[in-house]
Amino acid sequence: MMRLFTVALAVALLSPAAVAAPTVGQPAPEFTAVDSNGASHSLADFKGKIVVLEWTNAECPYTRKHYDSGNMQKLQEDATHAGVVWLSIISSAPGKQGYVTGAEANQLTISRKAHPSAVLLDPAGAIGREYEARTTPQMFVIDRAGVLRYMGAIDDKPVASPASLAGARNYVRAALASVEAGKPVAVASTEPYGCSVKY
Amino acid sequence: MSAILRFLLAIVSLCGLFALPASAEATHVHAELIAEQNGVSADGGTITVALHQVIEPNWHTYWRNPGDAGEPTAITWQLPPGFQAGDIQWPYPTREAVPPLLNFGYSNEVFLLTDIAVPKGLRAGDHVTLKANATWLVCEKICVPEDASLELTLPVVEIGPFPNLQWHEKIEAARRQVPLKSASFPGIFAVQDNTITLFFKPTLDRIEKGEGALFFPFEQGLIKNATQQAAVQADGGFGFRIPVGSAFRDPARANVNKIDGVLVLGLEPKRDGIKQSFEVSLTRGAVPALPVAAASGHVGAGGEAPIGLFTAIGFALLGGLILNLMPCVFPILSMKAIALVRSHHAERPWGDGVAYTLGVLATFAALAAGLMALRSAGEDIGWGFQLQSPLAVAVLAYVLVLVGLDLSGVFEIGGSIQGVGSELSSRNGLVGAFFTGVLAVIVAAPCTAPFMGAAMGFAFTQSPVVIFAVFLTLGFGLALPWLLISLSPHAVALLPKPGPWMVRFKQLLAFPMYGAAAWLIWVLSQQVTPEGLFRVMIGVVALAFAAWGLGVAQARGAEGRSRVTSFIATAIGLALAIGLVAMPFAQASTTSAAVSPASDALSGEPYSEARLADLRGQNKPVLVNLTAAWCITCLYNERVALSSKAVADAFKETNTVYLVGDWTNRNAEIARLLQAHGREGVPLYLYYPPGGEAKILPQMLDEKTVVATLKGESR
Repeated sequence: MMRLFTVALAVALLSPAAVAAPTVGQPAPEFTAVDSNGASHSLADFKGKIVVLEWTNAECPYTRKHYDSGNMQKLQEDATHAGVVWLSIISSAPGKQGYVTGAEANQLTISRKAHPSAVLLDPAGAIGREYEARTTPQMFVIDRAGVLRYMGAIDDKPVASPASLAGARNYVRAALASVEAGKPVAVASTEPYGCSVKY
Repeated sequence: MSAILRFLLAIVSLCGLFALPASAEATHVHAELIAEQNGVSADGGTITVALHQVIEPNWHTYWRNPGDAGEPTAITWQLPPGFQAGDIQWPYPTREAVPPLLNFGYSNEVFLLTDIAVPKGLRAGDHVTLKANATWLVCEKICVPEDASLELTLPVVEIGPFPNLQWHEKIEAARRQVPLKSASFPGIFAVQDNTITLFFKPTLDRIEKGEGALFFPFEQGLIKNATQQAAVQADGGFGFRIPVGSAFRDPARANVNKIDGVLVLGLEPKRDGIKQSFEVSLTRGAVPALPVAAASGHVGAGGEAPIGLFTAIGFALLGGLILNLMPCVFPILSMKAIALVRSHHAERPWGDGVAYTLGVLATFAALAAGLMALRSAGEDIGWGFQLQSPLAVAVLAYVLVLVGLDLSGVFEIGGSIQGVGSELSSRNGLVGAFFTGVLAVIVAAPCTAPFMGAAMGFAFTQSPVVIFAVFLTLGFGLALPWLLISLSPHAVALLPKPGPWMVRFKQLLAFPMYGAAAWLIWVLSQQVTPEGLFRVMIGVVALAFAAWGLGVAQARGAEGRSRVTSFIATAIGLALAIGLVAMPFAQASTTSAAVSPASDALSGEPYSEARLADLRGQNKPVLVNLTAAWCITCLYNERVALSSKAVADAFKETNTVYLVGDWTNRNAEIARLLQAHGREGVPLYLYYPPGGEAKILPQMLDEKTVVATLKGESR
């Protein structure tokens, strides 16, 4: 009996933590989600491609700083032209700020002239919680092998003022350049800033 | 709509249209500059000026580290020549929970103090104007950046200046909330297994237990903010164990050697009024082991208050005790009744109780280990998982039938029980009691008793040691009544004397066993195809045949006759019984099996994340019922509280949609929803009002609660 107990305890203590939070240099957490057109995507589908995850909420002032100025769209366009898969993720719960239906998400993409590869709808906040997404915007860069290479803020100016865009250091652009060149990412994580994700 | 309107207003105010000279009326914050004194001295010196924010109720602005999201208030000064402003002296913040996130900020009202150096040589009688451009973010459900151009004109005085009577006290009070730079709380931190331990050893004369202490780091990403901080004492100091923040999940940043922040003491209600705060600095080093109570619970999703370790242990004990009353444990209790009556005259009746308890505890430990191992392998499972496999259910049904047949007298487990009470202290008796304990747990496990869900939910956010503590306490609660009876000679003496009545009583007790087996077969009917169900039922017949063969062999053996034929019958029966369940089961399609647990009066749609999101998007009220066929509590609630006409009418009247998540078989979406609400098992009832947060209903439902919730009459 004691042996059984000891074995059970050993098994328990050796097992790693149940939920693995996103960690730089580790495989990015797997997820499956439905996009604004009803198509299902898994992270695993994009093995072999660089993937950017962008948490977004169209009404959040910090997100608007990057969209109203065209900053985010430019980054999306440059990235997707280079073959990067850009997934915008909306984790706002129904009834909360930023929640949209698929049709509304498509409308936003058109009206904002955005260039995501897909807009993933995460109304239950499952992917958001899995990635511990805190703010909009919040960014993740995943390399071709599915390894997380950058997580955090889009740039180094954690304020809502559009004037801050001039001279801002864009961490995502830098991370994408490094990953594409097969080099280590110089700044691999920062603290995201913005509105809280409206779970 | 009003949110959008407010947002537009904020944009307008951003353009400065609403900015007033002395104070600014932004949409959610009234801001003004106030001075502690009624003028500046012609001889120079220092004057304290405050940015006074009056914040709309339920909204908050941010501390220097805003926490999970947000932006600190910032002030840009434009001062006359020679004047110089210092940094903002931040009062310690409060924890502003926005589940599952948590921010550090201020509600209602805050004074952000700045010391301004005043040069010498000003001319008395002149006026000086201090200008500031302040920006801040203010959030409730949405966030609005606001700003204000403020100015404050003060006279230059020859005598004085004197305190500003209107504000002096308020500013003095605010100053008391600015953390003291103090060396009284040297700190050490260590990081292990994604947990950071912060330890403070006060160098004060008085004893500081750290009661109600809270730590606010200056930098973001060091600790998981949305965690209950519970300080515990150790080694002449106190400390916290907190999950690490994102910085420790980047190897390049994980080698932090120093953490600065604010330690706030005495925030618990009874000591309210004597809060003290200190600026502290922690260096990396060896920390003493903190008692387990230091484990901090995650702040529950949906705003439900998380429970602490001791509460969880208490609930686990209570849950275990209640398990004794659950219908699925009743047959096992019958067996215990028999065993105790048998042990009436034994020398060591307590041996039986102890062995039974050990059996219960060992099984709970094994279940906890299994659950943790499977979850770490990424399985979406929770409490009750042991009945999600058709094979496990079939084997349990077999076990119950066998025990029933034994009680009926078809055969005898463990040889002779003729000499009732005489062999109790034998090894056989103790082993038997141990396995009775094992059986009790296995059959009790699906009955997630009320109280148990919360304890389990707590346990699985904790370290393995805490998980084991909760599981073992649960087991101890289950075993406790029988342990106490076996330990007390008086209780044993109260039991009736053994006699011929026992044989009939024993036979009577077989029926609850058959009943429990019937229930398991019914559970199975939800899991497998009719063909699979038929196989198990034939298996039960074959098992009965085997038991009968064994009984015949035992009888013939007692008469000294050959037992070969009866053993062959037993072997054939057993082989058939095992073969029938060993073949893989085709799983019944989950959609068709979706339990419609309530009567025809109330039929639910199957739950899915997409459907729930869709309904909430349409602003429809939704009641989600997460249930399983093997969950007795669920079925009880569905019969008692969810199937009446009054409830069905309330659903119709309020246009509430009823979604049923059937967890009889594994389902990742349901597991996620359970976890999101801090639960590990069913039942879970969630009410989503239109556009509002999910409300968790009690685990034991009644009709009144359901109707009141639907009609919005509950608190």
